[in-house]
Amino acid sequence: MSCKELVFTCELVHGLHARPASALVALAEEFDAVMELENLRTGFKASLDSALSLIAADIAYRDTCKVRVEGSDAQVALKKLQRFVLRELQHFDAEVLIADNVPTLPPSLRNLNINHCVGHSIGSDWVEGIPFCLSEHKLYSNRDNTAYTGISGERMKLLGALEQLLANIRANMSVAELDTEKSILNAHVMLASDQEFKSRLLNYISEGWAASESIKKTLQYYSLRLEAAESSYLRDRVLDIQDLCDQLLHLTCNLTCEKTDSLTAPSICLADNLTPSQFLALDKKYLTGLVLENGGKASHTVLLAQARGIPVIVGVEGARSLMKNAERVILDAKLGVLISDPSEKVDRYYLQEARRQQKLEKKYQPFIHRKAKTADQKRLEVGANIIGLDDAVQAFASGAEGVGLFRTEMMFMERTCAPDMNEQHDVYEAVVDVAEDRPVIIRTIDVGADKPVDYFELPEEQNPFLGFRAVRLYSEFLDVFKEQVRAILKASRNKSLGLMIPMVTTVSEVVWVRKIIAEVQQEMTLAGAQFGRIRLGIMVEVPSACMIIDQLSEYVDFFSIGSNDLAQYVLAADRCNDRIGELYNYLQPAFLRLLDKVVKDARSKNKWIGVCGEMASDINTLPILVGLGVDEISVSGSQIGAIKERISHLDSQQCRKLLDSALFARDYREVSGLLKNTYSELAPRPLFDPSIICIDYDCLSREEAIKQLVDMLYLDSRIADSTSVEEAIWQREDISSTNLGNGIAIPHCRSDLVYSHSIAVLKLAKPIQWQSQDDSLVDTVFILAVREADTPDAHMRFFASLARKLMESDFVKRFRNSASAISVDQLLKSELKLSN
Amino acid sequence: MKIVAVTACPTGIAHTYMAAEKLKEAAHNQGHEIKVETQGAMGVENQITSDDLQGADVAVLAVDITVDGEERFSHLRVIKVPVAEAIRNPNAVLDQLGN
Repeated sequence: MSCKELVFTCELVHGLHARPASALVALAEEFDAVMELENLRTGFKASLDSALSLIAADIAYRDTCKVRVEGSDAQVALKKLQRFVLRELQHFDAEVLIADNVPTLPPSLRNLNINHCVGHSIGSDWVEGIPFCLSEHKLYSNRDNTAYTGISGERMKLLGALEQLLANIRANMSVAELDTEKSILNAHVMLASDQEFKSRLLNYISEGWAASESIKKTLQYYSLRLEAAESSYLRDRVLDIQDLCDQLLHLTCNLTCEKTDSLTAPSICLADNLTPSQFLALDKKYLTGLVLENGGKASHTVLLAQARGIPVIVGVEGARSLMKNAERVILDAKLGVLISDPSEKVDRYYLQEARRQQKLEKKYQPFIHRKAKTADQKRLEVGANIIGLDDAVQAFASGAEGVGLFRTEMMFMERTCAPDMNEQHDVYEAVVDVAEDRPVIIRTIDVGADKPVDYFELPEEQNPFLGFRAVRLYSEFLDVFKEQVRAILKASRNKSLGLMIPMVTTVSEVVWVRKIIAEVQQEMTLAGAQFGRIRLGIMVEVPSACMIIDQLSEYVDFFSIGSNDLAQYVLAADRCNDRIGELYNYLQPAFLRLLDKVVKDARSKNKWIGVCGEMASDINTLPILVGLGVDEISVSGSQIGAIKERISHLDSQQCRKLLDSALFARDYREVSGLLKNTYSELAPRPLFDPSIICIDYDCLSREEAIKQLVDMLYLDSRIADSTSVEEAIWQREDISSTNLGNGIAIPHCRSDLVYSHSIAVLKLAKPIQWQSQDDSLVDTVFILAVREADTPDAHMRFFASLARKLMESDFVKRFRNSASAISVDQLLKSELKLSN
Repeated sequence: MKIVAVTACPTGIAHTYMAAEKLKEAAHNQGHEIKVETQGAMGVENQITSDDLQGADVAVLAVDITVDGEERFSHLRVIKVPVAEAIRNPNAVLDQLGN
């Protein structure tokens, strides 16, 4: 019998919530050892056989916990537990998407005298519809009409109800349409079968309480515990317990189910709060939006609504009276606002929003199936990082020009033995099939003490990143490596698959790998198996490899820079360590110098070179990557359209100049500054062009006109952010009206969010009132967006020239006679003497 | 009459130059001589020199912000108006000069 202890810090931002708690319980179940956890901050103790007790221990972000493991297999259990809390626990937060900031309303909406209330924003959609107030949830008013049947009778009643409850949830699970629904119902199964939950219920019964009272008392106990929790995520879990207790009450008291509200027309529904079961019972056909007066952002009800694509806002004070008195409402989940009886102007705002969204999608659309090129026609392949077939399908649909990194280790992890040749081959072949003739680079297994594979039985290491990992362990696990090579060779039939070796440090490692590949090819030939040609490449992620690119080039066909690990090794900074987070940055000049050397060396040997890793996916770093002159960047699938679009604006020679300055910067901050300041030179845009000139625009208000113009600037990649530029324009407008009095208004701003100096023009179909009733009407709006710079540049003169021109009645007359965007463009060009 | 003028607005992008244009136009129409200094985003342009000041009869400041070198005009009669006024009613501004 041994006893072990483990102390760890909870790195989950939302605290230890239901899913990680369930995973801990599942882990503990594998062992005989008894495990007990203590939250050292609160002093609460919990047993690892009860998820509920773990949740109730109120383990918040950065709480330190101690786990005591006692039993014959304590040693093994502790090791597994250690690995879990160090490596896996943090991943449970990934699924919780929460926007914490309450955005302020953009001026184009807030200036419209809207009757509204504000809640928390938790999405990106908006919807308009008829408001409907759901009847209130009455848990405590339910009267138990059944007679008290004594301790054993009540016990039977309760156990029967629990059993029935589990059966009901499981039945619902089997008909659930969505994975989210299934997983939340599964969490409810875990809670309903929780040992502590059960024994607490039964304890109340042994004390002489009726089943219904015991349920209410249990609910009260957990509610008090959870509502006091540090993490709002945990507070939101009260709703799940309430849901279960609610259902249990119905089952024990033989109450017929409360009739749920039946919706008969598309409605935006309001409730104080809804349990997941109540939500599931609603007719989704008519539920177009959901307003929860007191709901939390991370409740399972919110997750369920989001999975269905139903816009939802929570924590909306005053929503009930607003909804009761409205005939129509708009629910905007992006801004977290509920608007009653919107005016025509408000409807127009949302129409503009819808158009903007459509245009944004349309803007990226042409790039999806186009090869990525810079403005000066330099090619830069945009590939995708994938971990399996699903990713590949999604990436190619989003416009991937190939797979730059297929991480295969996921196929090897969380199982008891390595996948065999056939299993691997099926996956590789399926990926090759969706890739069609596009290149696919498969990285061979990259594991080590930091990415554990149980059947390799690797010992714990003091410093796994500098240890026995990746190519370094292939000779010891030769069968596994050969099996993977075999699968890749077989899948590469008639296709050009790349096989990429991770963590190469020396030339002899590559020589050895080539020998093994040749052996496998020979074995396959002898066995009469068919296989195809492959390209051999290596990851450039160990600094030593950077110094011997010329030598390595003798043995490989291509290179791919793994920026994450390479930066970590070069800068000697662990990227997970907050205290040295400043050092770990792929914009550090020393790192950029090394990359520059690697790319130049590979180029001089005519080798293809790509970049995978986070640096490639950072849209703001693109000018550096273009400047380096790599052949490819491999990024996550969802970013491909936006990245290709951005590349199309960059000039490769100017990017190179930027990089040359960056190489002599003092630190990454200076490089970031360079990137920001020189953006307009890197992506040169003319002062105006027909795409930011709009004629005959049907417009109702100054707000609408300004929003339209700012949206045009945004869609034309001229500004970084619409709302902030709009704010800057309104700040100026509020000082004094920019109505010139001759039918022309010139709202303007200077801001560092403006990438390029821009003049956008809106000619209105009908004149509008600009500021006040006695103000003269406006039928033409110019927006002058000036880039903030330390020193005035030559282009600023054109704004002054335009301003002076607008005072000339001749010019204004000619301008008014220009009836198309093209003719306005030409007139402005000739009058302002612009060469472009 | 010989007028020296300065125009300046908060962002210095547009109104500074519009006011300058309008004042010049109105002055010429009324038979005055004028020199307008602009203090905008491009800095000070067409600066009024001590020579200009010596022969000047009156200063017109069409400004919404504090301008550099206002003390240069301390020996002159100064007419100060908002920029917008100079743009919308330049003649009315010049009417204040009297004769």
